[in-house]
Amino acid sequence: MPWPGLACGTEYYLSIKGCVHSEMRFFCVVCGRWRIDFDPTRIRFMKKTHLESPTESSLRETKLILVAWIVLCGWTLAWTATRGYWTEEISQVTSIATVLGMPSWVAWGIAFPWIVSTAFTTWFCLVYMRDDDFDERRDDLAGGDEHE
Amino acid sequence: MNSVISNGAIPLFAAGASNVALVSFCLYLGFVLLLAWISSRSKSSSSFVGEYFLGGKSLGVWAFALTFAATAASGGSFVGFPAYIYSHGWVLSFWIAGYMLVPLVAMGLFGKRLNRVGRQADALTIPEVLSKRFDEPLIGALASVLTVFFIFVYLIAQFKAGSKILSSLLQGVTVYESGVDVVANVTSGTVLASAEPGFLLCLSVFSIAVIGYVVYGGFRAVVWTDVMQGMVMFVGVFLMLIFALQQVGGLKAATEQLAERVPPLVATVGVENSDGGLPATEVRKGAWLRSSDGRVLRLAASFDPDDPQPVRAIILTNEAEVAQVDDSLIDTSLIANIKTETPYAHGAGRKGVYVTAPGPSEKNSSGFLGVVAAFSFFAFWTFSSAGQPSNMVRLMAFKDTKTLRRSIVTVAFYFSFIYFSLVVVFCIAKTLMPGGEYDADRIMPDFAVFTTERAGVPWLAGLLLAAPFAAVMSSVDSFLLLVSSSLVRDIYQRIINPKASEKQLKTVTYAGTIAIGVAATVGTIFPPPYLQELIVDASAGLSSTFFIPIVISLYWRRMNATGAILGMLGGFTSQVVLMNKSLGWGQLLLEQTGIQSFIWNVAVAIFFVVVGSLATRPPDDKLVQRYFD
Repeated sequence: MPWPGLACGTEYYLSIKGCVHSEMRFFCVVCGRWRIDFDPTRIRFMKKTHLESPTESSLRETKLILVAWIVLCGWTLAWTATRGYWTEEISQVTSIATVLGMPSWVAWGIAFPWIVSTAFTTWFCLVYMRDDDFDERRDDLAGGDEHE
Repeated sequence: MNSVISNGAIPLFAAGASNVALVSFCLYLGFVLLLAWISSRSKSSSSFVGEYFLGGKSLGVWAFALTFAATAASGGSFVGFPAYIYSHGWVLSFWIAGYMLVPLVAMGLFGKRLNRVGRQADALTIPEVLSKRFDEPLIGALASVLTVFFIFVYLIAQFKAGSKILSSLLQGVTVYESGVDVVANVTSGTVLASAEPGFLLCLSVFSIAVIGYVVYGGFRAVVWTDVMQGMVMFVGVFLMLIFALQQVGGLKAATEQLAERVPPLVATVGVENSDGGLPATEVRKGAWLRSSDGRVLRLAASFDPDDPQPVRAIILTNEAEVAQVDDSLIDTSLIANIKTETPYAHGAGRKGVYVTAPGPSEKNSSGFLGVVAAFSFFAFWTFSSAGQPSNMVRLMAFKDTKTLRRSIVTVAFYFSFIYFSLVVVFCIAKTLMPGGEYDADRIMPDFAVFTTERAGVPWLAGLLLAAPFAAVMSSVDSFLLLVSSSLVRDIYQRIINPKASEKQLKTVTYAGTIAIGVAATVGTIFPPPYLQELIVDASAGLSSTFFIPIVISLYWRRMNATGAILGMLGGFTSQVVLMNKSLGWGQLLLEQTGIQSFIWNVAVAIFFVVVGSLATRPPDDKLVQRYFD
């Protein structure tokens, strides 16, 4: 039985239950055809990433990690370089600007991106990152299972 | 991060509380050994080496997350890092900022791929992964030799750090002092007579404990003791944070007080009695004295009346700090004669220097941390962590990707809490406990005792003091097993005796682990000079050698054995050349650009991997298909 994603070569499927003869059908939004040759145990809203091999999905995730690194490193360096360095005025002020008790440049230049980084890490791992099947069932075209 | 604590001269504990350290240490050690015993009873894998070196590749979330975190946090995190914070202030948050991405990069960048390839290759070590990925035994042998070389240096440094921390903690404890006398008597007249007896005693205890549980329990024991040690570190930092914030009156108060501080003066002084003449006995390092013009200072080295050479001292320059020094601490029977006094090269007399970048510096006129150096450290922490074989081998041990995903999140929260809290705690320490610059490496144990005594719970100091010790021990056990696995799996089983039976492997594994542990112990008795520099170089050398070849081999189909060999040798050679002081241009390049050697090494390794692979034959299709399709 052909896997719908491969059969159509499309990216998105919409499942509709009980349209004709109480059968479950898929409507391919790209080619505009109804398809009924599917495995009912694998019904889901599918994206292109479900058809990737484990190597491809790991590479895609690695690229996003590198983008996150560039963004967060850039933010930290830019903010701290422009607002965190000592100037003559700092020794003149009677009280230093603080946010939650820490110097404001630490709050916005370090603590803020650190919080963003932790939030991003949480999203990346719990939502974006795909589970791989280590049981070596590489003939499975889906390549892996969507996590919870 | 690594550092070696100096041998403190003054006991940490008052006489009445001194046994706290001993009781805490014994309890801690007891738990470690108990855990090792329990874990060894839960072995599951049928293959001895698979179980012993990689725990049957079955680590769950907590085990995987905490063993990764505890191994990454070595003595430097709890000894050298606090010393830096105390000496330079809030700028250390900038210095350590790369840790915001360490869990994601070090575990997520190639954790899934490495685990999969490791399983496909049926590999237990990093050299074995490389060797099988390219079907080239030479790569495995080369990687093993480089691993053993760097890790062994690292191991010696960590043994030394662990022993130094232990001897610092136990000073003044009656049982310990008696033990030191016994060791002194036993070693008298032998080749060990020139070694410090207290250090020898602590080294022996530390070595026997750590070698014992690693040999007995293997990877699983290392992991479960790491879990406990990771928890000890977390609780220790949490308690210190609470005590410190409470005692300073909140973080805002601490920052405002810190903004008023200016760096101390660095002096050389002679010491004499207040009525003239040399003191009758040695004046110990850390002693508080007044100078002849009434200034308050602290000795940074012991003054020996039999050899009355001027010694280094720290002169307090802030009135608020002087007022914090209890008069009872100052030895008024002695007077310090200031011979020379030198202001800090950057930040002298400048208010606000501890709450801004680049931070005060005793020797560097442009300050502690410039922007380029900050970028360099940001990259170093994240990618160097990813390139450490001790971290990589853990990425081969988790049982499934769900475990990996949840562990990354756990470690992200763990590191965020630990490292940011340490910055807060030791910025507060700078405001509460002046004069710590006399020996900044002692600031962690000193402040633990200081805060718990002020909080009225001196017995808790033992738990706080267990944190740095746990950090060292959790790194030592992992490194020990890493060297052992390289020797047994990559050299003995692959080259010397490929048909070794399970029984032979068992014998060689136990004997090898003991031999490496003993060799590291012996090497630590008389460590080479400039050990601290060697640690940093070894760390950068490891990641420079392995990071690029591993990461590219996992994602680039076209990479071949030549690229892998040239990449490893390129990263390694670049590190050796840049660190070689006799080649002045290497040091000049690092100093002029402010860019760390690791960054240059990575660039060199990438070049050699790419050019080496493209200039030679593509890898065999079957090999590529096996690991990529």
